[in-house]
Amino acid sequence: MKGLNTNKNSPDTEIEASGQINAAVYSGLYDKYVAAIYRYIYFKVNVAEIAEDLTGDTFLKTWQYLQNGHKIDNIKAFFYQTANNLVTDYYRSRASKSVSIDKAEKIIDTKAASEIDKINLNTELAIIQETLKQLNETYKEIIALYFIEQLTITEIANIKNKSEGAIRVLIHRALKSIKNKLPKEYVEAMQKIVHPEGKDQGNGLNVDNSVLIENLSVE
Amino acid sequence: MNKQDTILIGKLQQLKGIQPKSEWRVLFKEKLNAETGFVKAEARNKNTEFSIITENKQFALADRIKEFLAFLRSLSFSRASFAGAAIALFLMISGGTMISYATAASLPGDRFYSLKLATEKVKFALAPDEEKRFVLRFEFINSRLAEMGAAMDINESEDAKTDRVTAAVNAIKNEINNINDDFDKFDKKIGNSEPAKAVKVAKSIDETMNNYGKTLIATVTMLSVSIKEKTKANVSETMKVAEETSNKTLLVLVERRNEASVMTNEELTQRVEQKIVNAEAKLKDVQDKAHVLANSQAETEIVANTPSGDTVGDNASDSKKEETKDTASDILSNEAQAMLADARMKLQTNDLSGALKTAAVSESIVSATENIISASVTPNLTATVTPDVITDKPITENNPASAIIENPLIPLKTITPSPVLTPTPSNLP
Repeated sequence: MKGLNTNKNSPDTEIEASGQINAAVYSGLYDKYVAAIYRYIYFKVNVAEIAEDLTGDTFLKTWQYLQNGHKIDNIKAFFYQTANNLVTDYYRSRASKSVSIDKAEKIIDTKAASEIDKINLNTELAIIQETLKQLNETYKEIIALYFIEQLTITEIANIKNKSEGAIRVLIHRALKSIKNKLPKEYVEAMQKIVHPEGKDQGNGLNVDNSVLIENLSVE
Repeated sequence: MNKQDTILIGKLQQLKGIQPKSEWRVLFKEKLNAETGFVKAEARNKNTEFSIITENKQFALADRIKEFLAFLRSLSFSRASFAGAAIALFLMISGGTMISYATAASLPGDRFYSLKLATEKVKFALAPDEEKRFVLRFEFINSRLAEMGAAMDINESEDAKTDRVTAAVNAIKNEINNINDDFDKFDKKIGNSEPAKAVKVAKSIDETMNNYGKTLIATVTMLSVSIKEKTKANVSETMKVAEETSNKTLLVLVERRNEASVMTNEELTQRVEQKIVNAEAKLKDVQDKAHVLANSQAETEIVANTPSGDTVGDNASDSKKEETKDTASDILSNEAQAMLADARMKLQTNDLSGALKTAAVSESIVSATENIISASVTPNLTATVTPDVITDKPITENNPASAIIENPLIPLKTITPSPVLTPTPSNLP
């Protein structure tokens, strides 16, 4: 694609030396980002089928944008921005439909030791999903980008056109907000399974959040 | 940041398990690759992933499972993990067929239409057996019929609508041709060992084709006059293949009725008679058109040959019209009429198979006649006749009228009337 910035150090902008977008590279970018973009949209629209449609549109529109000769400095950020715009358009065109907790996306963790663990985990995650839905759009988005997709603060600042400091503040507030909205019973249960090493017990989860927490602390 | 926060963040990260359905992911990638021009199928790396579809080809479920199992074995899974992964495959296959509303509601020419067709391909490839595949093909035809109707509700140009309708009609024709081919293979494979199964499928195809014919006619009546005219040839061709497929499967029902019957002799007789009645009605329609055309041509010729100021006498006009009798369409329609009379006689003697074959050949001749009439009102078409396909051979039993239906524009002067043909299975369409 003419005019597209090439950064050979970044796998996201593997554009041919000629400046033409390589369809094969774009196909690779789809593989790399489709799940993340889908999740990002899913947390906003709450309906799997709509998330699929809008995810598809995100990749098609980005391709068309490139085909029209536009520059994209950061393709990853651009995908998120396009997805965000499409979600906005979607909400403008129709009222949102949310799914009930029993219809929340089921997540099967293959690490789970037993069927009961899987059910527990899915129930737990369904509770978090439902709580996430109660947050305002900004917090929901920040949680999705930072905690779920694990984008860096710089990347989020780039996507949201905000300063890194502002993003850090938003992350803190978003985390506080979701904690406050979690069901009381769930918070109590969580207190009981706090592990001294900061690692989750049971369900096969082994989460290392040190990097995220460290980044967040630099304020 | 306390430990509770850490746990909560850990749980949030588990939401990463939310993924688009693998089926959608693969299908949309196909669509995207088509859009970007990256049509070259990706070489699959069997060590890293199992893809539902490759290179747009359909391949048997058994092959897919074998491939997947081989892939699993290569990973040296424990026995328990192996079973778990196999179950996951089953869940993936059985639970991932839902497509989005936008995709399902798309019409030919829409952005998501190819995705819709690709989804159908996957459903078809994942069908457990041949019988289910026939049912799926019926469903696909129903979808195309629905798309024809839906195309009329869109606020767009007549040309755009025509394109959508034409695409849907052509797709129906292709699907019917596929049913035809699949049935041949199916019958060859299990016709002798499991005649009951073959007969059951034959009945379902015959009934379905019969219904499609009616539905197609009903759908076409909803089209605007201009679209109807522009898609006439495609619709006619599609009706023809539906009729041929119905004839073929009805013949199986008739010929196997002693081995495995799903219809009584009375029901079969009624079906065959219905075929004859339909062919007679079509013949009548074609004869009427031919008559109108012949009179119109004769009138034109008389007026052209009459010096200015002269009046054309009734006798002259009548005699001129009389000369038009030996047209191609007359010769063929007379032959079709004789064959239909023969079919009725065979039906009376309970020779259902003979009656059906004769009616089928007659129907082909009627179609050929109709094509000749259409060509007559479209003079430019005659230019498309290729000399080397023109035959000087008269219509005989070895060179029946049905043999010329591939090229209805053959100069009919070369065709001489023949005695009533005795149809053979090869005469059948």
